[in-house]
Amino acid sequence: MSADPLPPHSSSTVEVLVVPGAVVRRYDADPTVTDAVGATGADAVLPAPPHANLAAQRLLHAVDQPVLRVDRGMRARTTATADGDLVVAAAPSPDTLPPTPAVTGTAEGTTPDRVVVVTDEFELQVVPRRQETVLDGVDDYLDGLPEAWHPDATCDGPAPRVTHASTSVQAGYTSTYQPPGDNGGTDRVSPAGDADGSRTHEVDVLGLGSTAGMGAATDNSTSRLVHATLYPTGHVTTTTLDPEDFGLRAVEQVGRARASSLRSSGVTDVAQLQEMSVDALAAALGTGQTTARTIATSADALATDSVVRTSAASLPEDPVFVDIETDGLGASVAWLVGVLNGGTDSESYYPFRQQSLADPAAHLDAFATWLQGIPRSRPLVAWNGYNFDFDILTEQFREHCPDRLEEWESRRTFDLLYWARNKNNAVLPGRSNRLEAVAQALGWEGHTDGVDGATAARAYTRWREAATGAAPGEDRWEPDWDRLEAYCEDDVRALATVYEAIDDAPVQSAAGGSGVTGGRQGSLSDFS
Amino acid sequence: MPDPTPPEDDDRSASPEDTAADPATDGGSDTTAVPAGARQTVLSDEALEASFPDYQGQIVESRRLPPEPAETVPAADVLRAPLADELSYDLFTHQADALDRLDSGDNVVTTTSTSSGKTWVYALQAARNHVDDDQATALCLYPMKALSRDQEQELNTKLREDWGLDVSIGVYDGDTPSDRKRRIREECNLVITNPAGLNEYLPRHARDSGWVRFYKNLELVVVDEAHEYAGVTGTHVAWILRRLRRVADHYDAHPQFSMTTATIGNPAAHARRLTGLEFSVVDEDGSPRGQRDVVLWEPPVDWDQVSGHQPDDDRDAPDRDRDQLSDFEDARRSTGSEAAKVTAHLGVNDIQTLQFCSARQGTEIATKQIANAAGSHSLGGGVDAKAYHAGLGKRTRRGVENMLKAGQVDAVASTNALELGIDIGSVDATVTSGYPGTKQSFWQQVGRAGRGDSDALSVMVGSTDAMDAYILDNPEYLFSGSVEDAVVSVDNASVYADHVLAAAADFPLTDDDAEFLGGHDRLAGTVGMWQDAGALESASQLDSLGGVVYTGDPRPQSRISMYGTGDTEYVVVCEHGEIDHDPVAPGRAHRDYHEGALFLHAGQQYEVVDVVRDSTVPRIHVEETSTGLYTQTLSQKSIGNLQPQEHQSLGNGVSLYFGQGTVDVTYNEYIVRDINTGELVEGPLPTGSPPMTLHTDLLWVSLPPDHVETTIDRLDEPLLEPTDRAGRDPLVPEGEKRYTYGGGIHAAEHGVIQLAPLELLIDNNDIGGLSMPEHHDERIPGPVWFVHDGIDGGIGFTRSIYEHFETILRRTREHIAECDCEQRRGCPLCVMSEDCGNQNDPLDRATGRLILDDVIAAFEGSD
Ligand SMILES: [Zn+2]
Ligand SMILES: [Zn+2]
Repeated sequence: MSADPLPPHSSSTVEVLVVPGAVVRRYDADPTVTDAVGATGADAVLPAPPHANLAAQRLLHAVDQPVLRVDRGMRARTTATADGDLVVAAAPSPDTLPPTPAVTGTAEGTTPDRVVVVTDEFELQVVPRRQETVLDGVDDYLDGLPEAWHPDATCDGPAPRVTHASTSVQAGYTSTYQPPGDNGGTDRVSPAGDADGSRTHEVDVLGLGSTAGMGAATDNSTSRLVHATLYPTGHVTTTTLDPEDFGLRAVEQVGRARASSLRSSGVTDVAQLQEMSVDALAAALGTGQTTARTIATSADALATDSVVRTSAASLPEDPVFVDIETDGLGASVAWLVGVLNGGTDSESYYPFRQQSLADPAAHLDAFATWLQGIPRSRPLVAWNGYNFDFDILTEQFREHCPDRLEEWESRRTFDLLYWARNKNNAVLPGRSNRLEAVAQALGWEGHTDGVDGATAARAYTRWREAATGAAPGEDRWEPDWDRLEAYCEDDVRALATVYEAIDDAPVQSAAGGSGVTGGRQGSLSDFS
Repeated sequence: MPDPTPPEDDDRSASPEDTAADPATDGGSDTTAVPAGARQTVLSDEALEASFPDYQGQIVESRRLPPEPAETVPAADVLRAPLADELSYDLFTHQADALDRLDSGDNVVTTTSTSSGKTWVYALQAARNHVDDDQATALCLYPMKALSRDQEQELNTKLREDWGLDVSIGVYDGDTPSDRKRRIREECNLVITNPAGLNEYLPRHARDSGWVRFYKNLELVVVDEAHEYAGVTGTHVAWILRRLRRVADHYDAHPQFSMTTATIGNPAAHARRLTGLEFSVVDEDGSPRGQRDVVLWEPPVDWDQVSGHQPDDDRDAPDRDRDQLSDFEDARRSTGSEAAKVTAHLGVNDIQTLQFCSARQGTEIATKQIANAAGSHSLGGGVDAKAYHAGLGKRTRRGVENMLKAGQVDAVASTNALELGIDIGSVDATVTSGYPGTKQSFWQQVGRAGRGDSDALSVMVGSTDAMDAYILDNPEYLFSGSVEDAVVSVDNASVYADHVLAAAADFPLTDDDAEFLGGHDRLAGTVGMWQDAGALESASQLDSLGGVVYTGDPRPQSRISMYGTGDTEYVVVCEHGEIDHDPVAPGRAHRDYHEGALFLHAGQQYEVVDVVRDSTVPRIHVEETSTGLYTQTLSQKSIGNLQPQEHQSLGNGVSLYFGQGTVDVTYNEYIVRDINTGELVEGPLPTGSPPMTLHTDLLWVSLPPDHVETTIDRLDEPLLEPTDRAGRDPLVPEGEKRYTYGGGIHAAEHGVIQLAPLELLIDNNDIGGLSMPEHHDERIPGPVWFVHDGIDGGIGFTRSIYEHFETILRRTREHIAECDCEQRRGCPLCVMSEDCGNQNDPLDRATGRLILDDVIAAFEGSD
C-alpha cells in the first residue's frame, strides 16, 4: 500500500454502502437505505453486523445494486470498476472464491490491479492489559483460503494485490498484517503505510463494518450507514451517514411515528410527501397547521433540491469565505487558511499555508495582513465556524501571533450553518449538515475527488513527522500541496454556492414565524 | 527519555502522615461506656420498658463521647490584613493549619469531622488568591450536582457578601444553560463542577478563549468529599485529575490542590493516588462538639423459628429445598421495621430524627413504618415523617431540606444521599438502619446529629449479615482503632487506555505527558496499541513535533462511564413505570438481572421481563411487581491462567499469592423461592446469561497437599453428611471427608470476603471467591481458596485485601468462632452469603476454624 495518504487523482472507484442490520431493524430498507443508495451513488450494498443476515434479506428485495452478502451463499458475489482495475468479491466462505485472484477480472484476459475480498471472519480488538491490538480470527481465516489466495502464493504472470476486508472491523481502518511464521510474529498489526514494502508476505487489511471491543475509540451508541470509496491503489475514504437523513425521516419534524403514519396513508417517499397540501398533511398526521407547514417546507426543499427561506432575515452583504485545514478534530494547528474573496465566480482564492515547521506563525501573519485590505464591514463566513474554524483561528493567533489577536478578534464573523439551521432562517436541501452534502444538492461539484478533511489532516501529520526527523537540506516527503490547497478551495467555493443559493431563495411568507426545531439540531449543540 | 514519574507502587506503602492520622476526631478512643441508667432519658431502660412496645433489652452497647471545646486561632495570625479584617470570627486550629500549609505551597488534604468547617479552608484560600491577583481562578469539584448548588450559595455568601470580594462564581454542569455556560467560561473566577462533567469539558479548552483564560490562571483545585472517589469511580477520577493537571500545565499553570475527605485511614496516600501529587495532612480537629451518645441496638432473633435449628446435632444434610437464609430474615425481626420503631420512639419524644435506610428497605416504606410505629407507640401521638432520596425531584428534595432546617418535620427517612454535606442544619438524633458498610460512612451519618456544641444521640440498628453481627459482638471496633483505608487503584488497563484516548482528544500526546499519564513505558505501550487500532495517528510518535493526534470517532471522553471499566453497561428500563437505576456492569447484569430475576430497588420489587443483549446499548426491561417470591442465581466458576506477582511463603506449606488470572463464570441457573417460608417454588431454571471471562486481580491461599487429611484428623466433631447436590454439582466435593473439608475452606473464603470491609472502604459485591480441595494448576499442590476482583482488569480491592490479609483473617477467625447461631453450617450472621453461587453448600464453621487457625499460625511462624 502506498505511503501517500492521498488517493490517486481521477481514478476509477467502487462505491460501497455499508448497511448494519441494526439500521434496517430501526429504519426501513426502503426508502431509508434505497434513498441513501441514490444519494451516494453506491455501486453495491454490503450488509454488516450486527444482524448482517437481516440486512441482507431486506436489501435483496429493496435495491437494484448487488448485495455483497457474506453471511451465506454458494458463491462469491462481485462488483468491479468499469475499467476492471478493482474487483470487490464478497465470499461467504473461502471455497466460494474463484480459483485465483487473477481470474476475477471482469473481461476475458484482463487482470485487475487489486481484488478486495470481503468476509466477516475476523475482527479488531484492543487488549489493554497486553497493550496490543489484535485481528482476532485472521490467522484461521487466512489459513482457510484456497492456495492461490494465500499471502505467500506465487504465480506466473501478473497477479493482483489482494486486500482482505472484514465487516466486523470498523470501516476506514486499514493496516498491513504480518502473518505468523514469516518471522515468528504474532497477530499484531501495524498501521498501513508503516511497512517498508520490501517484505512480500504482508496482507493488506481493511475494515468495512462496525466494531465493538475498541473502548472509547468507537461510538457504538448509534447505528450508522457508511459510504466507502475503494480505489485500485488500496486507498479508502469513508463517510459516516445518519439513517435519519434519508427517506421520510429526512424531513424536519418527521420521526418514527409520523413516518409510519405517512406510510400507512400511502406516502412512502419525500416526492410524494411534497405533493401533499398542508391541510392534507395536517389531517393525515393529526397535527396542527404549523407543524404541517414545517413538514411541507422541509419536504419541498429536499424534493426540489432547493433552499426555502423561513424568515425575513437577510444575509450580510459582501462576504469573504473562509475554511481551515487542521491536524484532526483536536485541531492543535490550522496549517492552511483558505479564503475566497467574492462569490462563486471569483478568481480570488488565497491559500495561506504553513511553509515550514519552524515557523508556525508566518501564514497566520500573512492572512492577518491580507485581511487588513478587507473592509471591516465585510463578514468572514465559515460553515460551522462557531464550533470550529473561528474558535481554532482565535487560539492559533493567541498562541503564535499574539500581536495580531486583537485585530483578528475585532473582525465580524458569520456562521452560515448556524444562521440557517440553529436560528431557523432557512431550510436546506441535502442529506446532512455536511457542507459537501448541502452544496452538492444545490448543484455544486468538487474537483478534488478522494480528499476529505481527515485525509488532509493525515497528509499534514505525515509531513510534520517526516520534517521533524530530517536533517537540514535533506530531501523529505511532501504531500501534493497543490491538491490540498485545491481541496480547500473546493470547500470555500461550496460555501459560496450555498450562500448564494440562500441569498437568491425567495422568502416563503406562508411559513410564518414558527421555528423549525427538529431533533437533529441537537447535533450542533454546545457540548462544552 | 528520563521518566520523572515515581512508580505508582510507591503509593501502596502507607506514608508516615497516614500512620499518624488520628481517627479519634470522629469516633474517638476517648469514649466511655454508659451504664443503662445514665443513658439519655429517652433511651433509658425505664423509658423503654415503660413505653417501647415489646422492649426486650435490644440495646447491647451505649457509649458517650465527651464534649470537646473549640480550639481557635485569631484570623489575623493566619491571613493578611484586608481579608483578616473582614472575618469576624477566629479560625479553628485545623483551618489555620491547612491555610498555613497551603501558604507554604503544599497540597493539603483536610480530614476532619463532618461539620468542622472544611469549606472555610478552600474558600479562604480562593479569597486569598483573589486578593493577590484578581485574575486568579479556582476549580471546585463535588461528587454530586446537588452539592454543587449548595456550595455555590455558601461560597457566594462567604466570598462576596461576608468578605466583600468581587469574585464571580458559577456552577458549570449538565443543568447549566448554554448562554450561562459561555459567561462562566469567559468571566468566572471560581467554577464549580463534578469529575464526570470535567471529563467532558476538558477538551474544549483548545477552542475557547474563556477556558484558556480559566486554565491559564488556575491556582487552586478543590476536591471535596474525596473519600467518595474509590473503586472504579475513583480510578476514573484519578485519571481525570491527571488530565486536568496536564491541561493546566499546557498553559503553564500549576494549581495547588486542596482536598477534603471524611475520616479515612490513609488520607495522604489516597490524595496522592487520586492526583499523583504529594499532600500534607491536616487531621487535628479544632471544632467544638457537644456530648454525643451512640447506642447499638440488636433486633431480637428467635432461634426457635429457624427451621432445623439444632445447635447440638446439625451434621445431617439440611433440607436444601428450604433456604436457610430466609429463615433468618424471618427469625430476626426485620431491621427496617425495628429501626422505624426506634425513630418513632424518638419522634413521639420530640426528638427530631434522621433515619438512614438501607437501599433494600426504601425510604417510602420506612416513612410508612415510622408513622405506623408511632401510632402503636404507648405514648401515642403522630410522627410526621418524610422520605428523602436522590430519585426525588429537585423541588421535593429542597422542600424536605428546608423542613429539616426549620424543624417542621419530626423524622426523615433518607438514603445515604444525606450523608454528604447537603445543608440541612442539625437534627437531634440519627438512626442507622443496618450498618452502612464502613466506619467512615457510619460516623458521617452520626455526625449529622447535633451540630456545634449541642448534645446529640445516635442509634445503630443491626441487620442480618456478618458485618453487623461482628460489630454488635465487638463494639470496640467502632470506637477505636483506625478508620478504613480508602481503596483506589490506577492499575486498571482498560480505564487507563480510555483516558489516554481522552487525553489525546484534550490535545496531542507527547513524551512530556509521561509525567501525568502513568510514566513513559506505560504511555508508549498504550499509545502504540491505539495507533495499531487506528484510534491514534500512527504517522507521528510521542517524540515528534506536534505529538500524537486522536483519530477515532469524535468525543471519546463522552463514551467513558464513571461506573465501569469499558465494558458496555446495561441500562435498566421500566415498562409502564419509572426506575432510577444506575447502569449495570455486565457481570452484575448476568448474575442479578437475568430474565425472570426478582430484585428490590428502593423498596419496590421488580421482575426482569426481557434482556436485550445484542443491541448497541444493551437493555434490561423490568416491571414493577409484588410476588411474595424471590430468586437466587446459581453459578459455575473456574479460575485459571494464574500469573503470580507477589508471593509470601508462610511456613508449614502455607503460601499466600497475589497476581492476575482469568475467572470464567456462568450464571447459568436460578431458583425461585417463597419469601415467607423459603420453600423452593420453581427451578432451577435457565438464566440465559452468557458465560463471562474476567481478566482480573486475584489472591490465593495455597495449603499443603495433605491438608484435607491432617485437618479432618484433628476435627473433634463428626463429619458432615453431603447434601444430594454434592453428586450433581461438580463444585461440591464428594465423600464425607472432602465434603466436610470443602465446607471449611468455603466458610473461610466467605468469612474473609464478608469481613474485609471492616478494614477497607470496599464494596464486597465487587469481590468474588472460590475454594476447593484441589486445583488443576500444577503450582498449587493442595487445597486453595481464591479471592478476586469482580471487575474486569481489577480495581485494587483484592490487592488491598492481600495487604491487610492477616488482620482480616484474625477477625474472621474470631467471628466464626463466636457466632450466636451455634450451627455447624453457619448462618447469615457469620458465613452464609447472599451472593454465594453455590447455595451456601457446603459450609462448616468447625473445619473453617481449623483451617483459619493453620493459616494464622503460618503467618505467626513467618513473622
Ligand atoms: Zn452464625
Ligand atoms: Zn460460596
